[in-house]
Amino acid sequence: MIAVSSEIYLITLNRNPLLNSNLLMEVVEGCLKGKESAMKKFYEHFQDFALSVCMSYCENRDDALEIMNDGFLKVFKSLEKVENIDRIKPWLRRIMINVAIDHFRKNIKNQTTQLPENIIEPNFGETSVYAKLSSEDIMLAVQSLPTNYRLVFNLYAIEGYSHKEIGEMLKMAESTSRANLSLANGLLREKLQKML
Amino acid sequence: MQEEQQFHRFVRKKLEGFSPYKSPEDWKKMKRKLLISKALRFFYPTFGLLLLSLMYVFVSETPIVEFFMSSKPLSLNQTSSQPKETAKASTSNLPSRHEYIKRKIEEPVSKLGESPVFPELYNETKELNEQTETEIKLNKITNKRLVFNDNLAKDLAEKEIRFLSASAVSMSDKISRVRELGKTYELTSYDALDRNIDKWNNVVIVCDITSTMFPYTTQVFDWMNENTKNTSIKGIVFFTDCDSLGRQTRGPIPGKMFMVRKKDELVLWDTMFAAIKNTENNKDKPENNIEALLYAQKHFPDADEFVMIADNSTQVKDMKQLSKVKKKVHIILCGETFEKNLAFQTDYVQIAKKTKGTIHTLEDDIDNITKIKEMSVVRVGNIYFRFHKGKFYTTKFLSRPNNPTLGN
Repeated sequence: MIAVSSEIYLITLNRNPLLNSNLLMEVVEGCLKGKESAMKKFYEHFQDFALSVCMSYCENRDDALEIMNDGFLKVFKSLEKVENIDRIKPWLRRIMINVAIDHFRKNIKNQTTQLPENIIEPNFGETSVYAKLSSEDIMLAVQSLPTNYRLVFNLYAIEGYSHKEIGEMLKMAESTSRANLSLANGLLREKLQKML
Repeated sequence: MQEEQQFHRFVRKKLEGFSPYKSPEDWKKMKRKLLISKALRFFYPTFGLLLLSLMYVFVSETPIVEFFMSSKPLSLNQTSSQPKETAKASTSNLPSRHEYIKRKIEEPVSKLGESPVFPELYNETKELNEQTETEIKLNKITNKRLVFNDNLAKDLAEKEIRFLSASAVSMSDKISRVRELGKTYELTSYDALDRNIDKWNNVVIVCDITSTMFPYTTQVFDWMNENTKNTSIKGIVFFTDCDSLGRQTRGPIPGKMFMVRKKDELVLWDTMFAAIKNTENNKDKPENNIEALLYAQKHFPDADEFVMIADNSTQVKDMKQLSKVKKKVHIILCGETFEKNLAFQTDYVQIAKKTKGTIHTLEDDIDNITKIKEMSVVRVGNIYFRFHKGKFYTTKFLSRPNNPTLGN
């Protein structure tokens, strides 16, 4: 998990920021004072990043936007807890994921996951065959996964959590998490192959 | 496993490069969320407070206006009690004879240095008093003052009656016992008579001497003994609602009534003990108040008004005869009704209304029962009632809320 997290952290830091750290500090101070203009700047600065995180956890953009806005609300409420401004992005990512998991927990009762009839066994061949697929295609494929699979896949493959941790977060057995990941892998490969 | 990791790394890298579509509407939605959040931050505490207030009102069943009242009622006429006190304070620092006697009555028994005649009975009285006080203290906390144990008081009164009716007990012992008993309750009849006697002319006191009224009746004796020179009082009639065998006194000929014309202390005590003996077998609660008034009307034709000392916890059994009462009846109501939101028994209100009389309690004088001022407070026994929209409501007040008395 540590390796994956640091990898994500480095990638997120390397993105071109809209605000440099001094300006970001001023914006955060403005947010703490409750200034709407500062909040807007903060929102616009992190919107890209937050929305992309949320979209991988949701079926569509509308749901992702709802989760992202809820996440930003939490961020604005607890912004004073941030001690290091450089660590704000991973912190924000963590909040977005937590809100997404909460959203999943609330709505899990209303969802019935239908298993596809023919699931490809997770036979991982050469991944280079998918290289010509765009980021949008991959996002669409991830979004099309059933909710449980999508969550487990995101938490394991993207965030780097162990099955034990995922089981605790999603209140499911460790074995269920493993099975869900296996099925998610198969389904995702099937979808990607169809896109080729 | 390695292939799986490779696949996951590939997906991760691709997703990191994903750039979602942005819309200016996104911030508007966020702004709306922020506004709602801010509004809710104020709404929840306000709603919580409102809910608690409503629960408080619902549980206590007190009128809502009670909460919006200032400590001083909106409009109240100041009646005689407070100015009287201030006048007394300003004129002289020395206690008057009346004050001295009153203080003496209120003084605890132990301070008087008198040993009780019958220690067992005395202890029972003491026990009851302690229980009553505890009850009131408890009620101050729980606001359930209506749970006063009147059955216990009745049992004790019956024992007292047996003692006072006993021929073996000397007259002086009986008198000292009666005086002790008078101090165990609030001085309703004493205070109300003392406060109003100057307003009344040619009156006959019609006094309920049934068991529950016993302590209040003894106060009348003390008051009478201190006011033997008062010419306004023409006589006193005691009614007991039964004869010595417990038979009802209703009928064409009034049953056993006890009447005193002479203002002689000994005659008063004799008559009183005879009445006490007669009430020993009275079993039912409603009393024959109207019959007693008619008796007084017949035997004191010169009297202008009647002062009836009545039991607020019991009803009147012979209300049908009320139309025959032709004189004004001032009612001194002793004790509580033991019912929530009921200051006075309705029968007494009817009597006061029909005869254009008045109602008096420990601290309050209601000169016109039909025109009680809105939000007035009246004390009945240990409970304060608030008059609101034509009805009395039990309040939580433990003392009078800064207004002198009930006005009308």
